[in-house]
Amino acid sequence: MNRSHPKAMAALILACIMIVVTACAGGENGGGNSKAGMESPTGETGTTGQPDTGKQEGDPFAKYDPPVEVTAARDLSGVRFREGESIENNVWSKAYEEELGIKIKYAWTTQGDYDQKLNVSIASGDLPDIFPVNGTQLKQLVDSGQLEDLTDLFETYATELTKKIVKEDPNQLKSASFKGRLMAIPKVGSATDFSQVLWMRKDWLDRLQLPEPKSMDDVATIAEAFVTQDPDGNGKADTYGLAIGAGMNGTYTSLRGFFNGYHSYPNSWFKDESGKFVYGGVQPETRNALAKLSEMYKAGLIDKEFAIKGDDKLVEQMANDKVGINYGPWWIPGGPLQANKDQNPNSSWKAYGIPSADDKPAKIQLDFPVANYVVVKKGAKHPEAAIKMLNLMVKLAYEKAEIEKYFVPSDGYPLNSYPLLFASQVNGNMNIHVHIMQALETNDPSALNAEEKMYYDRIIAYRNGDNKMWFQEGTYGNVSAWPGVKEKVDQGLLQTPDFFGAVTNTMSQKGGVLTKLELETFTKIIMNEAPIEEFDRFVENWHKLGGDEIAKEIEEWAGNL
Amino acid sequence: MVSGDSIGNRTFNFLNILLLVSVSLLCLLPLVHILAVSFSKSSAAAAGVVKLWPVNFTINSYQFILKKPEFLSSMNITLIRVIVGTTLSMLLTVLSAYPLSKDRRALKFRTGYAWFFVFTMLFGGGLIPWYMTIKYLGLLDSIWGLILPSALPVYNIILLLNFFRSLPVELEESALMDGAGYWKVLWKIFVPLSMPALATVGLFTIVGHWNSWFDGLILMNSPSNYPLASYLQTVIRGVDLTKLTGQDILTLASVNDRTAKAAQIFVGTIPILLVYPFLQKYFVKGIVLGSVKG
Amino acid sequence: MNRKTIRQLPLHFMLLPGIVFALVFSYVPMVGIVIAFQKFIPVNGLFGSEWIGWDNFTYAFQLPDFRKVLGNTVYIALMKIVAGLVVPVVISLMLNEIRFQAVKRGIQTLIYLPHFLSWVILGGILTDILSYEGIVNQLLGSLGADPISFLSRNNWFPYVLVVSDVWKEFGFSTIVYLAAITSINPSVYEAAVIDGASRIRQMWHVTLPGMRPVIVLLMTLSLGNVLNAGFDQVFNLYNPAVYESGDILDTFVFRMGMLDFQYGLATAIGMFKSVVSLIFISVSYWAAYRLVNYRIF
Repeated sequence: MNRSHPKAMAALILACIMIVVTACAGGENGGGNSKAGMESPTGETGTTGQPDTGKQEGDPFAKYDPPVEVTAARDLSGVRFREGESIENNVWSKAYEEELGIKIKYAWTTQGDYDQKLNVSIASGDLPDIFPVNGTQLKQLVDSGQLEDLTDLFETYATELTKKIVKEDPNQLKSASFKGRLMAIPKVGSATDFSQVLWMRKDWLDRLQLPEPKSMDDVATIAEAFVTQDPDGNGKADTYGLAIGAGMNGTYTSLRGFFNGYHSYPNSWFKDESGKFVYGGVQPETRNALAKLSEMYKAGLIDKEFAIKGDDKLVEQMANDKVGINYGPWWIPGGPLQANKDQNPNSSWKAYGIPSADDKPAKIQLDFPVANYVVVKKGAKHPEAAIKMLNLMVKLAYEKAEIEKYFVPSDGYPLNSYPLLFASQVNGNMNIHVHIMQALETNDPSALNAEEKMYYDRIIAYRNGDNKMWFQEGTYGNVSAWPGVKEKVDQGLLQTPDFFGAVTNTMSQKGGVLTKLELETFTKIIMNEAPIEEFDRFVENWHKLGGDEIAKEIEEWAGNL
Repeated sequence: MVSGDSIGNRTFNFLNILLLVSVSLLCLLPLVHILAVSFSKSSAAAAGVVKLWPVNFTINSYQFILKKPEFLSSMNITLIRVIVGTTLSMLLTVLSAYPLSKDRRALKFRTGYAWFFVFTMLFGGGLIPWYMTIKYLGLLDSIWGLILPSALPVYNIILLLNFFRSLPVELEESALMDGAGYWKVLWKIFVPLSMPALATVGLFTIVGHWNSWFDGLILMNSPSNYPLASYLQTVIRGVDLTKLTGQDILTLASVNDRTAKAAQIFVGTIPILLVYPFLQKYFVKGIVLGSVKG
Repeated sequence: MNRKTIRQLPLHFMLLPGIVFALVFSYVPMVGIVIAFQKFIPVNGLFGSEWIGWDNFTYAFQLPDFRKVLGNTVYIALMKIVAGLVVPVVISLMLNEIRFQAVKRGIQTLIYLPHFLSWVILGGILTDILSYEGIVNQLLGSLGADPISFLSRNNWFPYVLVVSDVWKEFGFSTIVYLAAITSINPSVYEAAVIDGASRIRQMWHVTLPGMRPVIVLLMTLSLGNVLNAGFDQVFNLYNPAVYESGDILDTFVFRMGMLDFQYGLATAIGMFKSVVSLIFISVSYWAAYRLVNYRIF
């Protein structure tokens, strides 16, 4: 059974592919004008009159001449290169060299296990100039004074457009700041890219003549129908109701959307009505959701052995017409659902947002969009290089919109992964969907950018009979998750975590214990091996075993923001 | 009475073979399954419908892998590592096992030496000191970093020294009396007589090098320098989704493709499977054991 | 005396390369075991991390479930050691009885195969086989028994671990035993046959005793693994429903330190395991020496 990676990060990453041209009516011109109002407060003297010192004061795009070299490190999981290319030789490395005079020399790269390699490198005293880290590593590095303070550099060198994008969600910048100083550049992302919604087999609904689900009760009713009424018509009672996997938080299947329907937000710390930080897993709403799940398990609506089934097995169930209800990410059509379509051309999945269990509309739970930060080693010779590279990326994506050349080419290579610094737009993917839908309705793709046009073409191909392209309809078309998500966005029904700092002391010490307790308790309750009252005991223990301490630490963190 | 082909014997033989063959089949089946998956259509594999026979036969995944330069380059690195590393290890193993196989009269401090080696099997400082040592020796990102640190396999030394001890003492005694030095005794007498043990230990060393993936992941500075096992590990574990900076959905699908994974596993295992039967001919019954009378 | 030392010199020299390697690649890194006593943060390195004495150890020992986890570990490991001893011995004896070389070689090759498959893959395969819809339960059903959820039931899980591990690794030890058997002097067999011994008696009186040193050796060495119940395997097979019986020391520590790679804790547990292994091996060594006059190394 495979361990699933924090699917939060997964969505973040996938999100990043989708660059959107800002409907840049008021598109600020990011290039050139730098001097005005961007004097470096440290009073560095300008270098006017000396054209070849390689550094022009405050110009976000000044090319280093002679070119400078910076060292870096990164992970190359899943990144592919064109024939003859590599991470040090591709359109981006050329752009960095030609436009900025920056040559990146990678001290090392990995294909997974980045954290291990980074940790050993750091322990042996090797820090590259620029490299990505996670929240915990960031805090450790900051505490030991190994990072360059980027506050002023950012002010000076970042273009207006870059600043606009990075600052759009102020929390993201805050998460990279310590005592008011910016110590890293967050890999800005979009919260909605973590959307998890309800997916169902529409063809099964049709076949059994059931209405589309509007509430959690509907979900339960439909689950029962799927189990008892042979929705795939093969004469065998081999279909499950609701899909759940081991740990309840797999890559493709997660119970999060289900819990959201009960106004429960597991695995997140947020402020309740009184402004106090609470943990979703111990709230009474979670109890309600668990009770329902336990009921459904007892009624045979859930795979009796869900606890042992990992990602692969769940994909099997979806691809093989074994399950028709799945809470999963917006990008799931790209994987298991397309496999299902390949195996069974009649299958038709559709997303149904987050139905609620009562008459209060449910909020959709989203993760904090920043999981990675790019840091600069203290004492690096050209710390502003990082910011310049970010500027370039922003310019090429949002101002020049050179999507085909630098981001999402039609030959499918993930050029998005190449740049060392990257920023996504908030709601980027949702907007892609909106634009594509407009074009589909009016039959007029002229307003679409290169990336959107590529998806549009695929959707048209599907609608003309090419089933291999169904996934695009599923990710951006009218059965996709976006209509449901957009509704939540428009109505302000978003639940993002209010805590986005690094792992606290007690989290590190007791986190493992608390998680184990939670997982065990929830699993047992759902499997009917423990009564729902076990939840109350769990809550009590949770508070005593460290939950309260963590809450205190978080309050402290909030006070220091 | 010679134990001939009595009914009892025949039944015994029959049941014996039956049982062993069943066990062997059990061991073979998973590999057959993986082979089947590797030749199947991607969505069929994802749907879990492939059991022991390919579904919608296709050689797509093999074409895919063999085109990947990383696969071939990592195979190359592993081959070098296996050949050089095994030779070095075997040398060290033989050289260390022989003296240790003697008793205290023949070698002073023998027990001390033995514990000195055994201790290294039990205690370690962990990942970070190991990495730092290798780094300070300048072995990072070099194939020698894969070969040298593991060149002394104490477990194998212990196995071999036990085999050396099982050889008749008279052999060595008479050779020494004839004026031969320890060196000669080792290479001219002990080694030839220990073929089964050497083949065993050799096999373990080869397999060890072939399968070792963690050192490759941590010590190499670039995936293009990974040995085969490290490369396979990254494939099998799929994409590390936490570190991606941008990925097309299609790419995600192809990288996590179960048939591609299966094909790579299979191709990564074949070479070693071919070596083993070849080594088996060394497990021949004792060659000249009967030569010493008395 | 001196002449004796000189005569032994070649032997000492033969050991020299091994000693150098051991020193450089094992003893030097061993210094890093001090991490077990530190609150180690990579950035601060070996000499800059805070010294906290036994805190890592007390933290680990006081974690709720530590005792249960330790118990699981020992229970599972011991079963593996015993089964991992008995099965290969039996199989090697059986293999030895086969006259057809081709068949013998074929079987030998096949039983070594599972060793090459990683637990990441085998985990998926085992889930397939052992789930309610899997083959084993189908067989049970045809025999009239109720289906058993092997991987999610605490009373079955440890045994699944042991059986699947033995299946995966028995080929390894079998090879060693076979090599030992081929080293037995054929004249001993001839003598036994002349005395009228049947095949079974030959096995008991000739083969097994001939294998005894190797059996004792492998058993002792594996006793050193009494706290290594197999991280890879358990990690790929376990789930919250069987934490109670399946959580072992290594998986437990892994999860506790998962959020921020607690090297201090990991090293402390590693050291704990090393000490226990040392004790077991020393005791076995001494016992083997005293009881059967056999020096394991």
